[in-house]
Amino acid sequence: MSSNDHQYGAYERQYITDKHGGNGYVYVKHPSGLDIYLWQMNGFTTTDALFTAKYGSINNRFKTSNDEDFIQVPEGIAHFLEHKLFENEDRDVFELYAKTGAMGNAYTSFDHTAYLFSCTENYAESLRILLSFVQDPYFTEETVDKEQGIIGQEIKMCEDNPDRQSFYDLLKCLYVVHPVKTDIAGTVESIAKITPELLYQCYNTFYNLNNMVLTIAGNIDIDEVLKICDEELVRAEDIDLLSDLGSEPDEVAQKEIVRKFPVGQSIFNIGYKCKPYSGRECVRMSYESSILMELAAGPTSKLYNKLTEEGLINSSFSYECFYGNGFFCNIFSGESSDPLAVQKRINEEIDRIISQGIDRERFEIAKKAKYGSMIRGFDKVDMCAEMLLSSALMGVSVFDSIDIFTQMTFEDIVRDMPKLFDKERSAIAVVEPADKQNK
Amino acid sequence: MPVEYNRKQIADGVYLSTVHDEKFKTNYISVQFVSDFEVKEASARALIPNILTVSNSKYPTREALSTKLASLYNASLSDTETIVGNSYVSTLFASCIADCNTIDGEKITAELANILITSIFSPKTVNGAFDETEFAILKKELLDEIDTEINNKRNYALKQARKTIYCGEKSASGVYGSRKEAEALTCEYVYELYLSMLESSHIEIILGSSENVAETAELLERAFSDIPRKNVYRPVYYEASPLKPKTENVTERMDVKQTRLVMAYKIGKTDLYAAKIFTALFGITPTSKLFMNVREKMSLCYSCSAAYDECRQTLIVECGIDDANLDKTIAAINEQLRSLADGDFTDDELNDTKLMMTGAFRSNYDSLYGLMNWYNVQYRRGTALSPNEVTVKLNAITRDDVILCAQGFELDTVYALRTSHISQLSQSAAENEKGDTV
Repeated sequence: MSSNDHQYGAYERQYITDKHGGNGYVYVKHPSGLDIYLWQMNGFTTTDALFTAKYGSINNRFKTSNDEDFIQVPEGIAHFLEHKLFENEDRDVFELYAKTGAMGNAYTSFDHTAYLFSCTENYAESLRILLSFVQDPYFTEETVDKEQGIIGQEIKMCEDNPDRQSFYDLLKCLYVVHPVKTDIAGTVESIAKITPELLYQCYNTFYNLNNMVLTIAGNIDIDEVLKICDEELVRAEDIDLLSDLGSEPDEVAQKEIVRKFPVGQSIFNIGYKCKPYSGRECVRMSYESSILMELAAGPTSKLYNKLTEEGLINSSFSYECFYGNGFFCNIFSGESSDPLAVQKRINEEIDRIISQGIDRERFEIAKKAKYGSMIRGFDKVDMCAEMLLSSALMGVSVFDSIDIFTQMTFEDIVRDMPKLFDKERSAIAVVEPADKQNK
Repeated sequence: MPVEYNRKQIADGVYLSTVHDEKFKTNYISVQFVSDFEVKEASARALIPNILTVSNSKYPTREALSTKLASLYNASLSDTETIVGNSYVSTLFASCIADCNTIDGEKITAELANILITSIFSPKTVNGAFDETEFAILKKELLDEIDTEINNKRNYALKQARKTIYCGEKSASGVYGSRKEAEALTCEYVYELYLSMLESSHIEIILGSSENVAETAELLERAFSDIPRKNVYRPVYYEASPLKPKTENVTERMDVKQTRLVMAYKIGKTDLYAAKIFTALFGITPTSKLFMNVREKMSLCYSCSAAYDECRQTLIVECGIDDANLDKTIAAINEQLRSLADGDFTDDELNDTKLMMTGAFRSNYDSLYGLMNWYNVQYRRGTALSPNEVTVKLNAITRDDVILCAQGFELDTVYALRTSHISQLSQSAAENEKGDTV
């Protein structure tokens, strides 16, 4: 079916608004199968759009209603596909964007691949380019071979990044079977196995509009955007997509990985594996985790300041709650002359908080701080577009997230702390200086 | 409502600028101390803003200050250090959500401004110098910063390359200085330098706001207008770095997977806007010569990009490659520059580049922080043009302007941080290497 055959247009617009303020956006379940989220931001000049497939590096084993059994594909293929989609038979996508003035880009994460552009003019033409090229794959032996050289260099660049190596080492410690433990880009060896046929197979499976999301924020006219969607989107049949992420046990794979590399000081990642969450529960647990990490070892905590005074951590120390489809963990990272001592002290502080309780006043301050950070997120068009996407992937609205946060209570975090920071399910990854034993 | 920008002098060498646009939800205050400096002072100058942002006389511990900032809806107080031209720029930066976005309408912006002012003029001191204990912690953190500069291979290669590119100039210095200089720092010396920074630096204060912040502006003006000033520095930001008589080649070895290549080209007199368009066409946009040829056609690298330091009139190209392709990549990059100098680009390519550049400049309208930076650069250039006004200037650049600009660049330095596996070396590259033990 060509795009000209479409006569969409009769569908419901759902207005999603912030009950506390004037913010709001539109959601449309498009007849093509696509979920569309549009946030018109008055007074802003730019437009940021993301066209996203719910397909990332973890979706390496899958089946659809058309397949008899699961199919296993090489590691790094989702990222490889992202690169190759920019090249069509008769044109390069960047050359098309150059005519509209948009800056196009893309990225692949563990559980999704997003194609995006940002522009201050001609957003309608740029949107047509985006919707068109993502729906029009073109893979040949020749273009696949060429990309192996480029991505090979990207992989080597990542291998020379000790922060990234330490992070992936931690994931290898925490996860026994879940594919999150594998580098998004794959390896030079795994991408060598990628063929045009495999790319088409992955594309036809995951780049189905029923498995995709369009999020746009900024200087747009919603009617115009939907008209373009009607003209450009090709209806897709739902193919009952199923990914096999393995059966991940509660236990960690190993407690520690230490590797040597030319670094000036040891880099560490300390992680606590939790059971995976989804939807509203995942949003709530991620907020609780952030608050608890701040209370345990954030800059406002006694431990952070003691560790700093003792020279065990420096300003690179940070924390994050890392989660997605089938994985959820809390991570402290930084640089230290003695990462194992940092791990021991954090564990002791977690034990102390669990046994002696949380300071209610500090909880209220941490919550207020987090609220401030959330408000800042509404200050930029690209962040609003990303918020639309992350909320859509989570199955909640942007304003649901704020409600979930404001409803979070002191009692919630007291109750949930033991399961969010279980020492038995923790691990540490360290990249230490290559010449450490000689110092 | 359009962006409002004003800049006024409030004391000798002290200026207060305001940037206002009510569509945002955040307020920012930036205070820049622009100083003349000796290269050997870089470590001390890097340490001063660190000391000022972790505590002050009112909040004398990190924990107390961090907790106070958290209670102001995660207000931030941070610092950055850069070398601009031949000046050392220490910036203290504070930001918070706008008062109108707080839950109970609290006046947090003025409160944050008071914290910033206290940090600058009333740091935590003991016996007429910075607190020794805190000083020792921050000195160790500075040493950690210096030690870990090697961790990020791209930044490390650029830092090492700058030592040769700007050899004998202040720009050759890293912002943190050397380990030896940092180790030698004393509390008293750094405190004296801090006092001289207050007295003689050129000071640029920028208040970015999304609501009425007259009270905060008044607080800042009052705090800075009465400070004693002596031997005030008059910065000259624009000074071309001299071209070396012969291209300098430098190689460093490390046990890494990928070779990092940095090439620097210099130019004498040139039109700023022509240089901007040229650089974008050469190596910024995804349709640039470097991207389309060195990456896409030749598959030599994942990224190959160019950046133009307008203050030093120096163009820096950098990329990560297989060591065996070192010579080939150097030749390819030189060839792309030569092709632009020969006019090997279409009017469409030029117009597309202009469109992309003007779009990128106009996107500053959607970031208050971006607008503050924008007008800070305008001040350094001696202009006060809006993003829209600059797009007019960019669109006036002709094909001949770009060709003339490309013709003016000459190769000054080639630096390579190379993998230490000799088996991967190309023969000619190995032969060109001097005195290197593998």
